[in-house]
Amino acid sequence: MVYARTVGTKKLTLIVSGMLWRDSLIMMDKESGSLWSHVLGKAVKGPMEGSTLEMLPSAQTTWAAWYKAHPKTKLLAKSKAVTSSHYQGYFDDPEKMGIFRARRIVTQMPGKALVWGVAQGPHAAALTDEAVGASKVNAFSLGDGAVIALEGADGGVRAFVARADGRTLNLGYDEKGILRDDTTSTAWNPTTGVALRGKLAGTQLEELPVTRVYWFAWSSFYPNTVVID
Amino acid sequence: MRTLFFSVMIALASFAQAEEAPKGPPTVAVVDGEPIYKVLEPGAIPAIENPTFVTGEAADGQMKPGEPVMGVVIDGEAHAYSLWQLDAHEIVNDQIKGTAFAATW
Repeated sequence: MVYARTVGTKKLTLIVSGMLWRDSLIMMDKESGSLWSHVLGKAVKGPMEGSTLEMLPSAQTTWAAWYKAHPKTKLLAKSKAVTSSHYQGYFDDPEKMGIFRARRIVTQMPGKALVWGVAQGPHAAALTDEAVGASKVNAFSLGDGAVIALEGADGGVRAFVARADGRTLNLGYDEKGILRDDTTSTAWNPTTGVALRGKLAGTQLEELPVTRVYWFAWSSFYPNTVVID
Repeated sequence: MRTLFFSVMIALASFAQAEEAPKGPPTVAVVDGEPIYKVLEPGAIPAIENPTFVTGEAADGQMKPGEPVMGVVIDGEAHAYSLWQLDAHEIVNDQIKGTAFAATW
C-alpha cells in the first residue's frame, strides 16, 4: 500500500511504531507521534487522531513483469543481498493467521487465500486470482459507483471507476484484445485507465488503489466485503 | 500488505516464556473496542527515511525474475521496491517530484 505522507501542509515521516492493532501494523509519524493504522490510513491515536492519509494507486507484481512494462523504472537499492523472504514459513503455513487469533474472520474461503482488495469508504470488494486473469474485466459496484478491476500490462491488478463524461461505462475486451466501452467505442489503456482513441480520447478514469492482502486480514477490516471469484 | 513480522514473533515468544501464566504484550490503548498492543520499541524495525535507487538495468542483475515487487508510477516516474527487502523495513519514505509518499508493506 502506498500513502501520500502530506496532510495539509505538513510532511510526515512514517516509522514502524512496534504496535499492532487488529493484527496489523501501526505506523507512527515522527513529527507528532500520532499512531496510524496501516490498513485504514487513518490516525487512531495522538494529536492527529482522525486525520487520514490519501492512498495512492500501486501495483504488486513480479520484478520481470514490472521491468518489462516500465523499462525506465528505478529500484530501491538493496543494502545487502536479499534473496528470499524472511517470512516464507509464515506465507506457506495455512494455519498461521496474524499473531493473535483472527477476529471476525469471514469464512467464505481459506484465511490465507491471497485476494486483491478494493475499498471505497465502507464499501469493499475482494477479487480472487481466478477472477482477474488476463483479458478479463470484472465489473461490480462499490456503494453507488460502478467499478472495474482488471490485470494491467505489468501483471498488477488495477481498479477504476467506470464512469466518464457523465455516464457509466460498460467496458470489455473486443475480439482484438482492445479494452473498449460499448457506449462510445473508445479504446482504453487497461494499465493507466487513459482513453487512447475514440470519442473520449485523453480522458483518465479515476483509479482506486488495489491491495494484495490475505483474506483473513481483509475480511477483518471489511467484514461486509463482496467477494468476486 | 503483510500483517506481521518476524521480529514480532520473537518478541511474543519472549513474552510467552517470561511468566508461568503468559500475560501477552501490554495494551497501550483501545480503539473501536480493539486493543493496540505494544510488541516492540518504535523504530526497532527500521523504516527507510532516505531511500537510494538504482537503475532498472543495474537492478536486473540483483533481482530474481519472479521476485515480488510493489511499484508506483507518479508523474511518469516509476519506482519499485522488492518486497523481500521491505520485509525488514516495512515502510519507505519516498518522494517523486512534488509528491511525498510512503510505500508500506
